[in-house]
Parts: sequence; C-alpha cells; structure tokens
Amino acid sequence: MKLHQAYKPLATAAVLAVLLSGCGGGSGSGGSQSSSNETLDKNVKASISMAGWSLDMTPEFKTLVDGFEKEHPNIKINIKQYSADDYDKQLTADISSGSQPDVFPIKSLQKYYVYSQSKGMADLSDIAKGYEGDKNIDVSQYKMDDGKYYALPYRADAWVLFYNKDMFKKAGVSEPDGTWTWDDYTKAAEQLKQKLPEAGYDANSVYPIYQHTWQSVVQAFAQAQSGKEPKDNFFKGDYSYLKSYYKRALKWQDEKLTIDWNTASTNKVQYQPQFGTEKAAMMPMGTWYAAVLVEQQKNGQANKFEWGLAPVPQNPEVRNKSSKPITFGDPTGLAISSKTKGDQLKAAKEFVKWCAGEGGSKALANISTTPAYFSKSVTDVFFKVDGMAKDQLSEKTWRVHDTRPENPVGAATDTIQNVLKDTHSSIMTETKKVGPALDEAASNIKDQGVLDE
Amino acid sequence: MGEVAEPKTSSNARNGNSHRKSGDGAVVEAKAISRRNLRNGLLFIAPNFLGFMFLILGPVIALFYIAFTRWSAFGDPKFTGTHNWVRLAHDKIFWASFWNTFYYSVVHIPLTLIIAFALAVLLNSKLKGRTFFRTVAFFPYITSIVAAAQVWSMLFDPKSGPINMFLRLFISNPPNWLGSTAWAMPAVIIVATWREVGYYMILLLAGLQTIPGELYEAAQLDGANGWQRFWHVTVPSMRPTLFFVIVTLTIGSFKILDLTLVMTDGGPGTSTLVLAQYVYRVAFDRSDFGYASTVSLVLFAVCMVVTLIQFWYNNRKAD
Repeated sequence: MKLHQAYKPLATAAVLAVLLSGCGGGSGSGGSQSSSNETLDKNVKASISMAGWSLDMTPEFKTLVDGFEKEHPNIKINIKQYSADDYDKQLTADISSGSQPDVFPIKSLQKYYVYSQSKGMADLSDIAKGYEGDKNIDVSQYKMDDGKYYALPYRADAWVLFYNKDMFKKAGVSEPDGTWTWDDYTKAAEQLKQKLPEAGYDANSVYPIYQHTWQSVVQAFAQAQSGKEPKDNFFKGDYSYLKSYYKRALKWQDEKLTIDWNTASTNKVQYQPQFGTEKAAMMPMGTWYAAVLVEQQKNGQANKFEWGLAPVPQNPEVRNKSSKPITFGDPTGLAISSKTKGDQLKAAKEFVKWCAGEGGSKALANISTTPAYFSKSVTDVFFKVDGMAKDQLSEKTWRVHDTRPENPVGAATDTIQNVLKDTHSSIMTETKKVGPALDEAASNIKDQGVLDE
Repeated sequence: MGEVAEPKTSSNARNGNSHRKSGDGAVVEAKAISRRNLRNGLLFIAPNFLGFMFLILGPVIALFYIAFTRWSAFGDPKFTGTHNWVRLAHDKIFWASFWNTFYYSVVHIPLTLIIAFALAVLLNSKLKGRTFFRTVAFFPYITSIVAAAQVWSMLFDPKSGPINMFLRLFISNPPNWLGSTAWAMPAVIIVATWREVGYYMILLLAGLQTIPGELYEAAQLDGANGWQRFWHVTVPSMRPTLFFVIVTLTIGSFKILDLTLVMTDGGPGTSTLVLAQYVYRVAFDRSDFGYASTVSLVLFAVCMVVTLIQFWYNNRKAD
C-alpha cells in the first residue's frame, strides 16, 4: 500500500512528461504522406529547423543555410542554437523527449552510433545510395550493419601535420616531404631544438612541436596506425599498441621538444596561439584548424608566416599497406529527425543532400572549412582562399588520406575511451610507468563488464 | 506547512469564538475552519511543493528503479536485476572515487570547521577593522568557482607557480601539486577550504552573536578563564548552529564536484576522481544512465547515513 502511494507522484510525473513532450514534438507537417524519394515541389513552401552551435564563431551553419536558401527559395531553414560544449548532452535530452530539430549535426561517429539506437533519426538510405559509388565522397562510415544510413557527411576533417615553413627555413632544417615516420618527426624536432635558438627564436618559449593535451593526439594515431582491426585490440582489451606511441610522447616532453603535458594541462594552453604565434614549428591537428589559422592571420591574432600541410607521420614499426597515409578524423554529419514528415521531410532531405554534395562543399570550401565532397572544383575553391597554404604537398595532404574513425565505433567505446582518458593523464604526468598504466587500464576496462557484451 | 497555517488558525479561532452560540455549532464550525486552514496551507506551499515533486522527488524515486536497469536515456530502461551492483563491487574506478570522496571529506570538514570557528571567534571580539576582515574572509565565497580554480591552478604550477617559488626558499624539491597523484588531492582541499571558510564563518558569527553576554559575565564571576569560558559557554550555546554547519558542510563535501572538475578533471589518473564526478562521467560521457544511477544511490546512501548519525548524536546530546 505504501509502495503504491509512493509511485503515484511518479506516475503523475510520467503522464505530465508525455503531455509536455507531445506539445514540443510535432512541428506541424502540413503536407500529405508521399514517397520520400520525390523532391519537394518548387511551388510548395516549407520551413524546417536545424541545430547549430556557437553561431557567431562557427560560420558553417549560416553559410550552408544561406547557400541552400539561395538555390531553393521555397525552403526556409531556422537555425536553433545549442551550446558547443554540451551539444550532445542537449541533443540527447531532445531526442529522448522527441523534440529534436528537423535537421541536426552529428559531431562524432561514436555519437552517431549512440543516436542510431534511439530511433530518433530518419532513414536516409535513398540519398546515400546516390553517393555510394562516388569517388569524391566517402559515405561508408555512416553505413549501419543492416545497410541503412541515418546521416550523411557534410564535413570530413582529418588530422594532418601543420608546419611553419619560415621556421624550418630559418633554422635550415629540411621540411616534411610526405614520407615521414614518427622517428623522422622526432629527428626533425631534435634538429629544430638545436637550431631554432641560433635562428633567433627564444629558447625558453619556442618549441619544435606542440602536442596538444587530448588523449586522441596519442591514442587515436596509435589505434589508426596499429595495423590491426579494432575488434582485435581495442575491443579485445589489448592496449599494448599504445606503448611505443606513449614512449615517443614522453621522450618529446623529456627532451623539451614540446611543452610538457602537465604545464599545458594546468595552464589550459590553447593550441591555436601555440602554432599561430610561432611558439611551435610543427603541430598535428585536424584540418578544421586551417580555417582558424587563415582567419587569425588576417585579423592579427596570429603572426604572418608561410605554412603548409603534410601527412601525419606514419608508424615506423608497422608498414603501411595502402599507398595513402593513415590518419584519423571523424566526419561531421547531418541527420534528420524521425519525427519530421511530409513536405518538411522532403525539404530536409533536399538540404542534407545538398550539403553533402558539391554545392554545399563549395560553400564550405570558400570559408576554408574542409567539406565532405572532394571534387577538383571544390579543391580549387579551398586552395584559392587568400592566406591558405599553396604548395603541392599541402593540396595532396588535404585531399588524399586513409582516414580511420577517431574512436572505433561500438557499444563499449565510451566506457573504454573514458578509462583510457585516466590512463592518458597518468602516463603523461609521469605518475605511472607506461607498461603498468596500460595493464591497469586493461584490467579496469574488463571490470566494467562491457567487453563481452 | 504548519508554520504557514498557524497564525491564521489562531485569528480564525478567535473570530469563531465571538460568534459562537451553542456547543454543536462550534464543533461544525471548528471543522470547517480546520478544513479551510488545511486548504489555505496547501495552497501556500503548492508552488514550492509542486516544483519539488516534479523536479526532485519524481526523478529521485525513479532513480531507485533505474539503478537496477540498463538505460542509455533513449527508450525504456531494461531491468537487469543485480547486474549493476555486482559490477559496482568489482569496479576499481568506483572504489577509487569512493575512497577519494572520503579522503576529501575527512580532511576538508574538520579543517574548514576549525578555521571557520577560529575566524568567527576572532572577528567577534572587539578587533580593530573587523568589518574589513569579515568582508575579506567572505570574499572567496562570492568569486566564480571556475575563475578561482583556474587562478589556483596557476599558483600551483610546479615550475613557475608562486607557491613553489616560495617553498623553494625552504626545501629543494617542492611537490608537483596537480601533476602528482599524492599532492593533487591536498591541493584541491586547500582551495576548497579557502573558498568555504568565509561562508561558514558568517554562519558561526551569527550564532556567536546570539549568546547573551550575561553568561560570560556569570562565568567570569565564577572564576572561569578564557579557555573554560570557550568550552563551557560558547560551545554549548553554539550547538544548534554548529550542528547546522556540520551537516551542510558534510553533505557539501560528499557532493564535491565543481572544483575537481575544473582543477584536475579527476586526474592525474583517478587520484582526484570523486563520486559525483564519476556519476557525471558514467551518465554523460558513457551514456550509461542505469549504472550512473547505481553509483549515485551509493552517494545518496553515504550522505544519508552520515547525516543520520549526526542527527542521532545531536539528539542524544540535547536530551
């Protein structure tokens, strides 16, 4: 009896929650139900909502919307602003209450996997099929086991090596040639360490490289270049492939080739000024940084210097079978709400298709943002931007790479990733030795009981 | 609820008395009055209680069920029996965060209490410029935690931070603070104490000022010295205030999250990972709301048990 009464408020709350979500949900589909393959009639007006974050600092959403609306005057897209840092938390809440916007970006493949379990995303296989054989775009990362697609990429950033050509020239060290392994990278850094002060750079504040504090800077390269499938190491609880990558990372900070992790982490060092104000000659970073660098060199937040892109160094121990350099990077995708119906669904699909294709890609390339569609004309637009790197190697680096997901995608990923984050700080602060720290990680991950599920 | 309704009861009862003719009528009228009072009382607390019910009570009750399920925030939770609890028992990260929370509380609570009490006694005396010092002591509490934590992180910087520069005058090898598993927690505790001392000092100061001066005069006449006056007059008179301070301080300590999140993010390794942050991580980083509920139930139970012990101790003393 007591229990029964205790449940009453809960039941009331549940009823109320259903009522509330009912109000927020239906964005009012006026049109008739018809096959989703049909495109929207040019004379039918439709208005859809789209999620975006930090709109004043992230011009890509507005650029896409403006470009699309110009070509499709009958469709109006309203951008709903989210917080950049808490985007996935807010979207999770929206999807679970059924109030997600019609179109929403998917920041990472892992979150794509999580959302695909929610039934909150519409099936986009019909659009994806149109791109499947296209050499200029890779949609395969969004293909689920059942062959369906719930999102399409509109940005395909990959990690590359940014380097400061002026600093290399002044120090007299030979620039990356596109064939580097991590050992070559270390050698070049050691030479720079010696020669940069002679070339007039402050020995105390200028470093050959900047390794940012994120765990991906060590772990995602190691995983992508391990030569093994994630099911044979990452999901199996074997993290020995991280060992040589951590040994190198520690060597770099011990030899003061980079700011040590502890200092960078407690002072919350930002990577943009490190490279932008010539505090580091080389920096592995995602291609999104190109847009920032171009912008900052224009507005004076960054120094004016010549820079270039090179492929990230490769694993010296495992020979690369493919001719393309192996790196990592998650595409950013667009998904459509499963609640969107009728004309709105048609309009949303039209928009997503446009963003993934040449039209959207050109618009993005024009603001130095790496798009998903790498055709010749898109590449030309990207490298024609004033202030962008100009040389052959940069162009090839940007266009050609074998890109693996930042994290292998699966049910256990978030947990493994979370435990490995602690491991990363243990190792990089040198409070634990590499071997024991990795063993401990393996045992902790096993204890979470996620590997066999 | 009673407090809101009470003044009305007495005034209504008085009005009723003046009109009263016969005994029977009085009973009926009294019942009507008590119904009306109940209705008014409920109306008074309704805005607050409804908010509490939907935003706190409902979710808390749901938590007891979700803790026994597997749930990613999408769809319905799947009941998994004791699976989460077995996992909890074997989860070394959970135990690390459990002991870290204890470590933090056991050091932080007495430290803050002693310093706050000492400051309150000091600033209750006729000290020159005491208003100024009261403000100074309270200041950390009103600073933004994120800004304060960031500044402290820089102060603690092992190489260029002022703290270690100072320490190097006396010892050659000062601690690595936030970069070391042994010293990260003490650093967090120092900042937490610095931040909260002012707040509890104000509470204790308010308590001190309610103690009648005659008690001290009487004690003095009886020949009690300063120390005796403190133990036999101040402390017993302060018991209600002290009880309140200790309970809120304890609950606050067990729930610590913001400071470790900004200063260390639980690191290095898991050396400053506390229960609340582990709950947050499991829920929002791993989308594992079922297991996060299990861990938060443990946190809830710990707070509950410790508070009950304090209540029991306080009541025993009061008798």
